[in-house]
Amino acid sequence: METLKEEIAEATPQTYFLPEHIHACRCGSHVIFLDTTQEHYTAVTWPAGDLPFLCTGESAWRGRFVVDVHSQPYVDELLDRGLLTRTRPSENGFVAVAAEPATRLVAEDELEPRSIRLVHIAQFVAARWCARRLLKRPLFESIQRFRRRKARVSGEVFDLPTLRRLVNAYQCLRPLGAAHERADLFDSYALLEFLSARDQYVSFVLGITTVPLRKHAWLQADHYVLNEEPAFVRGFKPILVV
Amino acid sequence: MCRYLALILAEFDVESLNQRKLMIDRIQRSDSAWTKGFESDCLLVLYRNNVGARSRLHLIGAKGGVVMGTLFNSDTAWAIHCSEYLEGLQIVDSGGRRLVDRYWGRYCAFINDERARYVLRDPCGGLPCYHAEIGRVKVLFSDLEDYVSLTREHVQIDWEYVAAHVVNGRVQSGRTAIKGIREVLPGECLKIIRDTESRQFYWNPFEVAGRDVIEDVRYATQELQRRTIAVVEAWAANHSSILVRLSGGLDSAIVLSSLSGVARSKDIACVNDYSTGSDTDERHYARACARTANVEIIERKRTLLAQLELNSGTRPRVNPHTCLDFIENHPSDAELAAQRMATAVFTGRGGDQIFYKSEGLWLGADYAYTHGPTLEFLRVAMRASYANCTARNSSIWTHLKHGYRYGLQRKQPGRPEQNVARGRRLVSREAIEMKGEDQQWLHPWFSTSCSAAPGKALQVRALAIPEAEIGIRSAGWEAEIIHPLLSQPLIEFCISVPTYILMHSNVDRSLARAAFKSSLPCEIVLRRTKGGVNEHIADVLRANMTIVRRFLREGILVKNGLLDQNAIDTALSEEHFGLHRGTVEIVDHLNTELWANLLTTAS
Repeated sequence: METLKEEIAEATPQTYFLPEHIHACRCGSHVIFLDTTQEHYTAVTWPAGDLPFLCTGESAWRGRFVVDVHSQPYVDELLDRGLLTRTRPSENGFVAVAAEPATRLVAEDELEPRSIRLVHIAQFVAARWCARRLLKRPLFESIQRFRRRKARVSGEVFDLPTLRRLVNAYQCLRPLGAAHERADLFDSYALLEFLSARDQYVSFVLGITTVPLRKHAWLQADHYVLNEEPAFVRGFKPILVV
Repeated sequence: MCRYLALILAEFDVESLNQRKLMIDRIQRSDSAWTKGFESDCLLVLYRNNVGARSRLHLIGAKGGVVMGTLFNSDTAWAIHCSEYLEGLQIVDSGGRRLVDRYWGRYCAFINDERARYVLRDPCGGLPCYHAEIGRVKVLFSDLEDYVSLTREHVQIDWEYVAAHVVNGRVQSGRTAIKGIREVLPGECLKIIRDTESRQFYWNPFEVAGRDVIEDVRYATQELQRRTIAVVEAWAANHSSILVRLSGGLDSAIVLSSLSGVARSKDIACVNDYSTGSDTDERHYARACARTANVEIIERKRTLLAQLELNSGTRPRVNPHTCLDFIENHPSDAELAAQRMATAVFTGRGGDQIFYKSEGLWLGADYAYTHGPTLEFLRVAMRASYANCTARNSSIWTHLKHGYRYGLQRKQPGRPEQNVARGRRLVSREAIEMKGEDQQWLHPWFSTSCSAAPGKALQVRALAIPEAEIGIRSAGWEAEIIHPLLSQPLIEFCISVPTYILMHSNVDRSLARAAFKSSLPCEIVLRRTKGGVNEHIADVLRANMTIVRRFLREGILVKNGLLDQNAIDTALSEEHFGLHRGTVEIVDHLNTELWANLLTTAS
């Protein structure tokens, strides 16, 4: 009887949490952890191919994992690496994943350069400068900045005609800016800054693929993709959504 | 499918004749289907008399030689039938050059002059053409098996070539992976006078690019549509039942759309292969194309298992296979063709190269190269920087820099072979040393400094390697694989249109999109992304991991020091597999390993 009790106790799933700076998602047979303080990705595969985490089907997790005891050795390693924790972080719960990207807000053949105003140019320069500074900081700090800003409003706040006009202006001006090594991240930061200067708040999404391991950042407002091809970003699994 | 064997004697003497007779006996003993197609004192052409083979034999006058393959008239795009004698005298007098000027198709010509023999391979390289010497006889052949049955000797692998192949991907310089065998390159003519042979290109894309440059967008759009439809219909004319490999991309959709004019008189069906993965399921697009063209679509889930076994059962080739062969030689294509009695399988291969799928990085440079530093150059550079306007794109400053450096200063951009070598993780240091200088592996078109704009040169480079797959067979049924977009009239036209016109709006392949806008589904015209097979490749490898690991780790390439065993272990380990950008490389090496294995076993 005692033994049975012990077995039951052992079989009870334990709850672990993702630290505030860690994001995770399941991608094929891997679980990918993103450490935003170092922008470091860790791919975890279990030999049997069965993932021990009781996943809820969401593609991006910011919350707790319920772990079955058989995977304890792996969990211990994740705990050692700081990718999981036993204490509930101050901020947790699922982060809503943006809607399925379906439409490009402004396609390249719809651009209207004549609608650009002087203020757009000034804000474009400022946004690019700001993005360049943000890129020098850890991803975690940039995210906190976006979060704080977005905390002032609830959900995605944008007015579609205004957003369309601003994205058009930004895309017309984009080639005038210098290229950057991390083009996607830099561009997403810059566009986010550009839009927030006009009180337009959209989602920043960081997605990954595992064959091969690639990452890509883009902006999304509802199902509209602002700075990428929807079909292209559909190939990525969101790991971080702000 | 056209399978031929040509024997050319240096001297018309008893010894050579006896040697030739012995060879004919050998080949006919190995397979009774071999028939004489043409015979003169010094030239004998044999072909395998299978289904439809006779229709691919075109005599040049009475004694001028023979053209093996499918031939069309350049003026009318009508197929030349075997009953028609080709204009013998002019072809012989021109040493075969007239064939390139007045005809096109998938062929190999053997021309018999009083003094010389000429062997000409069509500019698109549709039929393979290799040559070797056995004693005093020069042997030209399309299939390695036939050569092997003639020599009765073991073929020897040229490890230097294999090293270059492993390091650079496919190379094409005229040399092959088997010692003693050389390749007649597309558009090349081999002239044989007694013991001496000389080579000359009758068709050079750089010459084509330099004459009659078309810069009128409206005319180019109309002409592109007209030529595409003409070549597709010309190929279709020979077949009453056709399968179309419809990926869901722009190119195969254009091929299907071009068939609409003849669809009523033919049995046309589309095949779409899909697999689970983020970019390998394009059924949505394929269905839209089939609906618009009003043809049946057959959807097939790609299989994971047994592909490697099937691949190892293929016949040995002169050169190793490529990655795409591994994925696209769908075994059930042949069965499906047999079921539907289809004699041809059409594909959209070559569309990316001829219609110019590109990020648009060279548009400004190409304009500056042709027109110099005009105001229009700034406009083209600006427009190019909007091309595929996404976060991944470069800025106008990059375009201006490229325009200045490669367009105005005319510097040569780096050779892509070097970039390939840098990206390969499994290749050993010995392989890089063994292959030697890159220069010797360059296609002769590029060995001298080319006088084309940089973007155009890259477009030509992508066209330089012909498609290897020409036919499929199942239970006695044969079907021809046809890549209609890789037809000479269409290639010549697209080469003569500058890259900044091929991509005249801000989107890749924009001229082709504009030309077929009215006949394609809207989602295809607007589609900017392309399907991939990376995830499927990874799944296939994962499902066959035991055999993959064994093949690569204990294989011939490792034994010959071309691959690094430790790097293989790392790449195929559970932690790393699939995560790095090496999946395609693994398949490339696997193909090479299978090829080497097959050849060694066959020997």
